[in-house]
Amino acid sequence: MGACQACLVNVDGVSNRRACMVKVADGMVAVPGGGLEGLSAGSGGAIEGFLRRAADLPERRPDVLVIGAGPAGLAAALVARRAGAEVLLLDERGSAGGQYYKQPAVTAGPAADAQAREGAALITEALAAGVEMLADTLVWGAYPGPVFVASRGGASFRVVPGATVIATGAQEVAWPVPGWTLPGVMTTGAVQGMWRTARRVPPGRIVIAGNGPLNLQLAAELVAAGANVVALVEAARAPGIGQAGVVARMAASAPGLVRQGLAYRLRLRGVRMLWGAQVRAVRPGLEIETDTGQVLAADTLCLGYELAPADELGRGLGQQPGVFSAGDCTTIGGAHVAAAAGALAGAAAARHLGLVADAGDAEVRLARHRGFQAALWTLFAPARPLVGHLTAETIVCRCEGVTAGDVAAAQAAGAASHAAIKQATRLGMGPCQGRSCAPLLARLAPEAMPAGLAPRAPVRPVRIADLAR
Amino acid sequence: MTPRLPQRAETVVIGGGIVGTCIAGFLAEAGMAVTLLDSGHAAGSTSNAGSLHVQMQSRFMRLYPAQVPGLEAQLPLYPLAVRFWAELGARLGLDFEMKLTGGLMVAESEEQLAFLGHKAARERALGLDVEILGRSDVERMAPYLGPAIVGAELCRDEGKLNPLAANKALAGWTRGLGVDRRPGVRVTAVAADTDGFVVESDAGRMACRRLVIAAAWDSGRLAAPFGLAIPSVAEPLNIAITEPASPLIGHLVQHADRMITLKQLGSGQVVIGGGWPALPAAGNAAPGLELDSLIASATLGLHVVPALGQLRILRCWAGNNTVVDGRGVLGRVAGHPGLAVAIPGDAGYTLGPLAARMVADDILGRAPMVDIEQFRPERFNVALPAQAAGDGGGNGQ
Repeated sequence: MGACQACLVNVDGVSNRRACMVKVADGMVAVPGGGLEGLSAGSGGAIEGFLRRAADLPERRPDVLVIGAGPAGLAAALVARRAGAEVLLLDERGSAGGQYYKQPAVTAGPAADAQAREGAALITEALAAGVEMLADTLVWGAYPGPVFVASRGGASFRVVPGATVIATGAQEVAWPVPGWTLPGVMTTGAVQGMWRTARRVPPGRIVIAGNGPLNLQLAAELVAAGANVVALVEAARAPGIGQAGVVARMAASAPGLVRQGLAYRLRLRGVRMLWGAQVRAVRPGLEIETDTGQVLAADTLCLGYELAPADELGRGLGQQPGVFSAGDCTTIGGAHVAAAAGALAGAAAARHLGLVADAGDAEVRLARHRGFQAALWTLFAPARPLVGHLTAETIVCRCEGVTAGDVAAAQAAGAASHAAIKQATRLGMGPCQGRSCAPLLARLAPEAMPAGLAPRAPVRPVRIADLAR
Repeated sequence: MTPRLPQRAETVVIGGGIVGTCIAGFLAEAGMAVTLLDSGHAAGSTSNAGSLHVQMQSRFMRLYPAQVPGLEAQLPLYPLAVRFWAELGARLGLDFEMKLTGGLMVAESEEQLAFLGHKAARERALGLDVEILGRSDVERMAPYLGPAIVGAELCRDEGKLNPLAANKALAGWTRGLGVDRRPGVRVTAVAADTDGFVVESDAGRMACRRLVIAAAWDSGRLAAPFGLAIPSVAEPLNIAITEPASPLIGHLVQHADRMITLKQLGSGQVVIGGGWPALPAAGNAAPGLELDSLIASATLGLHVVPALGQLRILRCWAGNNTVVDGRGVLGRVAGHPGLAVAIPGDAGYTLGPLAARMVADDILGRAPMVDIEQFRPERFNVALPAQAAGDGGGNGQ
């Protein structure tokens, strides 16, 4: 969530705000539409000292900057703080926790579950230890130095840290099949976020499709919340007796997680399970076609096939002394791997400053959870490769409305690199800045030179007023 | 991965930007077999963001005062170049999304307005259609401008086009003419040969009878073996583009005393540039971005057009402008039959097609539509240094 920019709305007269990131408040007026409605003569006003330079921005100089307050960032901040570093922890969202420890934003509905409670305890612990946490703070730029730039509350500031831990997590990759952009089609993470923060479930019949345990967890959560989950379509084969050894290995490394997994399965007894199947097309309605020939009817379809590291800041910056990355923004490994890796990165950041740091048993936990992940993904190995099903009419770049056919036409006309395809089709030029379409382009044109979609600041769209104030 | 070059070609054009693309097309229209080499992907240096400049850019005058005579010398080319863009689109039936909405160079003090008055007088003497507007005219014509603006110089010939659309359309035109387009080929060396030239590249060696160097800032390196010391340098500049917005800013907007160009494209996106520096990069790598440039240009943009505040900047990139001596370097090279150079000079994208036409006509032995003599590469002939010093004055035409 927060990455694709496909949900832009005008909220109280301010255009292009992400619906997925704005908390609803009483009296708020939200209307569809982005910048096309947004510009009118005479708004704004003269500003003073208009020849601003970077040096004019307020500056923070923490010992350690941690970007992202999910499992990796929280762990890094805590370890660095306990080593004696002054730690500034920034997160784009309204509250710390990231996706895994997502905190409820409403008091109505069922209370936070164990996962959220665990996160709340960790956040409290970090605050008690003296970590300075700023929510609603978007780090949109990383420049050589390194110097980071962030926006918060309509103004920007620079951060020149002694050491940095980038822990920006992952984002979901769109499932490239006809109809993936239809109304009612969402990502698994978006629906889980909706449930965990706002205690809302999608209306009507819900089909969840994808690959991996997150879909199973979402299905179990939605069933427990009273939602009508009609089917789960999983790309992996049904677990059989032959995998008992794998499960035993998993149970040895993380018995709690295996117990949790079994509980999910029990809760899903009324849900139709389609193992070894992938969504191949979605037609308006929604009519969902699988590659195994089944057709399912639904009102909401959750797609959760792949995650990609949200690594724009680190990639744009390149290797820099004192800059460490941890968690899913490096390699997708899940929350427990991220927490262990975050602790190690926090210790490395503190040591970079000459402090004595103790990451506890993080090395051991990292190895154990990596082992668990490896075993888990043998269970969830897809029956067939995850390639999707792109027809000429399938949208690849949703921001600019570019189809797979447009990409093919550009290639036929001589566009031999991703940069040339981008120039010829406008793919990647919209507000998602290539985050959603670049993985699909890589799949569609693997032979093209991958230059040209490298992340550059601003790695997220930034409001001009936020730069000038 | 890049396919090997054929061993022989008739005419090789080095540089697939706006200039090289147009020269390749014009020569192919005249029946030549043309191979177009580009070190990146053609027209990929993204140095242009769609401005069609006619009046002298105050930025250039401040930064390179010694080059003002050269700039004035080629000033009459600019209105012709904009007209040529329109004619080219009409003749080929191509849509460049061109809009000649006029350009405003704004002033926010009487001193700046006086500078514009002086500049406008010089430009009028050189044949440009410019006029000075006071505050009430500005309010009427450009109500989007902020309250600090006291007046402006209006140049009616200025405007904008969509360079992505134009590059794509012109690339298609050359392809239709049979131009052999070779992206991703970096030329490592060129030399004269008994029967023409030899081009060495990372995709192999190629002999040709005719060679056109249209490689922007890299042209100096490529022309050096022929006794030309063209001081072409890359000037990496920061450009920012916003998300789309409803139409508001009709003109190409510049400032008398600050580095900014600002325009709204047909897509509704606002492009903010104007010469804020980017970090030079080695070889073919993209220039690095500077935070100072982003903040300064965004702040300036907001100051000049206050309504921009709520728009978000989607992307920044850096493109390389090419600086020589303020004047184009155009035409055949004396003493080297078959060799020509084409560097259009400041605001190279505006001048690109016209400069390409002039060089193509020179190669084809036709009288160029504009006198090419004062732009000839020989002023950089290392054997004849006196010539370079001798004709530096702003004679106009």
